[in-house]
Amino acid sequence: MNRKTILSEQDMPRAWYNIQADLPNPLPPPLNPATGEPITPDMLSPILPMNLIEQEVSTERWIDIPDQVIERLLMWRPTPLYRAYALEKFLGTPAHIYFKNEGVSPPGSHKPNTAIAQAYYNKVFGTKRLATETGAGQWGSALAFACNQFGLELKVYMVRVSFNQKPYRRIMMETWGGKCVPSPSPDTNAGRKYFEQNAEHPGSLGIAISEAIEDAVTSKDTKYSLGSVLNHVMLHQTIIGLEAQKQLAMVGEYPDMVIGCAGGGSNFAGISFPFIRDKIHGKEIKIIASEPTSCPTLTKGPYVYDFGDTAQTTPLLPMYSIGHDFVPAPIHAGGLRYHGMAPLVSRLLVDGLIEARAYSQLETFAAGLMFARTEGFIPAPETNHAIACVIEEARKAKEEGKEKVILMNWSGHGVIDLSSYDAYLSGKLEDYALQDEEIAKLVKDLEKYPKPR
Amino acid sequence: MNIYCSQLGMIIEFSYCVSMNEGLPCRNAIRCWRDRMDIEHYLKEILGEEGFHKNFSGLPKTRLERIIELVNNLGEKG
Ligand SMILES: Cc1ncc(COP(=O)(O)O)c(C=O)c1O
Repeated sequence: MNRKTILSEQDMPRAWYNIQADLPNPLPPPLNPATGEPITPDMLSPILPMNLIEQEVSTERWIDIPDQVIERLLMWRPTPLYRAYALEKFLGTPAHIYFKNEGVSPPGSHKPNTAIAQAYYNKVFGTKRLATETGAGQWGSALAFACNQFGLELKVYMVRVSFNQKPYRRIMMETWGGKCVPSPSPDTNAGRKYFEQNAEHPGSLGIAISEAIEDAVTSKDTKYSLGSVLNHVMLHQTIIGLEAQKQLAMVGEYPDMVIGCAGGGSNFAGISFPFIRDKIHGKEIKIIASEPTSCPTLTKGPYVYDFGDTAQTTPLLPMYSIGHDFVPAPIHAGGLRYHGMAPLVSRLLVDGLIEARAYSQLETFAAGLMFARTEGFIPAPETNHAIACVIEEARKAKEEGKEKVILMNWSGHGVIDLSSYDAYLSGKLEDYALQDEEIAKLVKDLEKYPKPR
Repeated sequence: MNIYCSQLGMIIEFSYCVSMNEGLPCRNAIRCWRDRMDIEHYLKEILGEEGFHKNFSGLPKTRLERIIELVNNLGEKG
């Protein structure tokens, strides 16, 4: 009984897999919002080095991993593939559950797979300094680790609410030598206008992005770096799935389904793209992206209010512009409006190569707890979405009496996110519907806040 | 009243969700709170029909569109 399957360092993949080479329909170019024209690579050159822009648009199937990147990845890779025997036993399922443990990296998640690559390409391009934003802090800490490895300076704009309440990520960044400031900061025009109004402004991801981009565009030898969404980020993450393919072959298995949580799409892309390649070539395999019901980008599409007709005379209608089993109308298909989701992942959903599921926050924390109490490792709250989906599928396999093979990406550990577990364990997180009197109380509470214009 | 914000990776208060965007609600506020309260009714009450529409109408910009727009604006400035 092998609890984990370890790949030797020599067997770590030496090339990334670029799914753009195998897409049934090529990715439509993103459009410039100002002109409606396609975004050309030169538009990205103020913020990204040319070598990464080349990867962004490349359609080469295999892209060699440079030796200096390999050397750094070997610090924690290949990551172990675990068979979750204890979870299987607890569920009484005939399914074989495998999870790829990406939590063993120095910052504790899959993020350094791309952070290391991006720091390297910037270094060889001549970049001296990187700027980025971080919400939760995982990306900032992964990039701080990577910049330290290649001798680059780093400035991270961290949303102030998160900066104040989650000091450990900031301390990690500083330990690796990165500079982390709360956003809005007085250091950029974008931040200053909020900072001067209120030095304790809680900030938002939007403001932090504006600050980081301004820093990159206006500072010498500085570029910007993004931990998800972009094609080259998905590319760098494919090492996860490529390793998993080798490891499953070592134990003589092939998955019936591959499951990953999807926020911006990068860890999901990492585990699934190599298997989607098999699917394109005829393998029968289910690929599931799992996300929160609270932000169901993939399952529900952007929830937008729109006029029912173009003359704008009808009342507003809530509408899901893109549904689970609804192929979007051409006006939306051109530039899929998943504002936080990778275009590559969105495209695969439209093409029917992947499916999406959504889980409520209580379901996901319950799943995370079950995992921690069987397999031991405490998952990141994001990872819990994948676990909730695995548990659902493992129970289905039990009902059907089928020995399904399930592969999951365990994208990171939750040791720095224990405060969310605390909120869950103490009953502060609830999905319940509010009663009228509670809403009335809330409205009252809110009177102290400035009225929106 | 708390929720786990997947953007910030932390527990936040309802008041943040409805005021974080220059005093206006987060674009995700309806999705996040829909299951727990009649958030649309509540937001319409505080924003007015017109303000509500202004905040939630139209398709949100994708991350890349947002980045390009910022780069373009900075380019024009200097
Ligand atoms: C552990 C972990 N999993 C998943 C995610 C979601 O990002 P993505 O969908 O790009 O993998 C994050 C993002 O911060 C994360 O830290």
